[in-house]
Amino acid sequence: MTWLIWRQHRMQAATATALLGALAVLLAITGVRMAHDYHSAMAACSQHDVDCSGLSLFRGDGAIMDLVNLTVAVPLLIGVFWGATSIGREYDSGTNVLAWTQSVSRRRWLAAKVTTLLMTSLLAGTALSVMVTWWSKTLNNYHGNRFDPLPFDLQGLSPAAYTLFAASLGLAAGVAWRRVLPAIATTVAGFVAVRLSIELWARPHYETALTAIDPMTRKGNPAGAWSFGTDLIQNGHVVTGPIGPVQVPHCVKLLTREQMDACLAQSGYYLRSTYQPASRYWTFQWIEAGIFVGISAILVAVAAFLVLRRDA
Amino acid sequence: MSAALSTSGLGRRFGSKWAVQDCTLSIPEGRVCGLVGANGAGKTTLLRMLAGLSRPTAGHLEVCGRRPGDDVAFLSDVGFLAQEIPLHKRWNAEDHLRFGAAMNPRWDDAIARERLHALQIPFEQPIRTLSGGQRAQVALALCLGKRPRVLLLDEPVAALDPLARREFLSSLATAVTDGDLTVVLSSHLVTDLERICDYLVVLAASQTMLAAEIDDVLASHRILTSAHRDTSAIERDHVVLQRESTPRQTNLWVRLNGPVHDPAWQADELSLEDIVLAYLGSQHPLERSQHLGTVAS
Repeated sequence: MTWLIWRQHRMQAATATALLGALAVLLAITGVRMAHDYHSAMAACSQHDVDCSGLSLFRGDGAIMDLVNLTVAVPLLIGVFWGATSIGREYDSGTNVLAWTQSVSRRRWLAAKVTTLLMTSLLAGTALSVMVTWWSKTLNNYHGNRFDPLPFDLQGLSPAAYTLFAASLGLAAGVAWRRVLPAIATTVAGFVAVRLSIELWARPHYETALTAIDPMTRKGNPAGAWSFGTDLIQNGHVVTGPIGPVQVPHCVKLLTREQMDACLAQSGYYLRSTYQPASRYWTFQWIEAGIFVGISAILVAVAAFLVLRRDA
Repeated sequence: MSAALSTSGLGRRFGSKWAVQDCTLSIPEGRVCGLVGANGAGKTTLLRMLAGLSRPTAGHLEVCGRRPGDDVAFLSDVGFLAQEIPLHKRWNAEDHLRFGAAMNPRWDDAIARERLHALQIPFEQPIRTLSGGQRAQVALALCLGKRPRVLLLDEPVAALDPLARREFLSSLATAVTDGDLTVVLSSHLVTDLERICDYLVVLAASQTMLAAEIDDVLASHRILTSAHRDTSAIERDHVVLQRESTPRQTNLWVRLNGPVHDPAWQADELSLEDIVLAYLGSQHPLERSQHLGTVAS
């Protein structure tokens, strides 16, 4: 079986290794330089005791940042090129019959195919995640927030879990359709639908969001938290609509933001924010990864059942 | 002699339609058996069940004394060549031989390699660049290198031109001359089978119409011609497969159960193709208890 797996998938392995290798070189070079720029800027700031919050770094690095953001699609590519073709192409070209009439049981053949697919996908997803997570450290420190949707998807456990899911989805779609093209379409549609649904509707509720009531003079959101928004409240009620001359006539005349906030605070206004604190980041990562690994397990079980139970 | 493969009451249903129904037959070891039937008679389904690729809905089957299943012992004993001749299009013949070696513990590299050498099949060219005949030969070499005890071939020559067809059949014939291998070869062309087969199974309407040695089949079937109109005496002693009456004479396609005593009937030999056609148009499957070969010709 080892020979067969290698002969069938060596091109895919070579392509993936080359692409990931190229990405690694690119990220290593830019990552080291960006970290260096960031640290020397921070050092300069503290030396001269200036406020660095207005600092603007990495102006020329838009392209590499875009490229890193685009890696959010890598799991899907693996689902399409590895998952959907893994057994789907065998059915499509009839070579499943060829494999199943040699002296190797279908069970063993399936185990080898599925194990190879899942292990290589997991490996590729992990490699991607390690590279991007390392590279993103500077941006996370600088102004980013790894709890925001896109960074959350690109770092930590997420890429590996998504890759496993995409590969399993492709595998199941290929087995169900017995043809590559509809399997690819199903993989793309299914991956986007499940990823977005979970990101939009499930992820914010992994744990009950915290609510903080702060005076108007608060500066910004809690660091590293995933904020769902801030409301203005007065007497326990959320104030909707603009506040102006009618509600706070004496505050309107003030000129600066600080004076205005102080005036509003005196008039009984507060800020109420809903958020997931930064300390929950890894809990959320594990929960999300667990969900995708669980879905993958179901998909693989369905695919295996169909391969073993259905006629060739 | 023990049966290399046997089925009883075998059936396979797809939805509400039976592709094979109540199929009972037994093929002795070492035979080269032709499986004929009209398109849609269930030949492919029967062969796929025998190869373990399709599960029966009803009945029993045994190949080399085993029920087809997902175990190595069964799989090693059975070679199967599907109608579409599936091969890896981007691989070359050499890759396929290595595939055979990697996937089969009983693999005989010399058998497969020498065949392809003798047929001058290019080893290093991708399969997709080979002709249909060459592909079929690569697939057959893969089947034979596996050294199965039963070889199932589903219309392997259907897509080939007449010359490639003849080459394929004659190379198959040389491959199976030495004894032990049992071959089942389906086709809807009797002339193809006549060349290499010594046993014949006729399927029609998903049922077995005939399963017997070809020599016995030829010896026990006759066309009877007479000016008589009364066929009741013949029908009592023999099985009439088909009849054709004109005002001047009556023709009966008959399976004989003994000599024809009435001199008014003239008995002529039938070609294998005529016999098969008579069965495909008839309603008289061979009774299970009945045996051919006891008939004086």
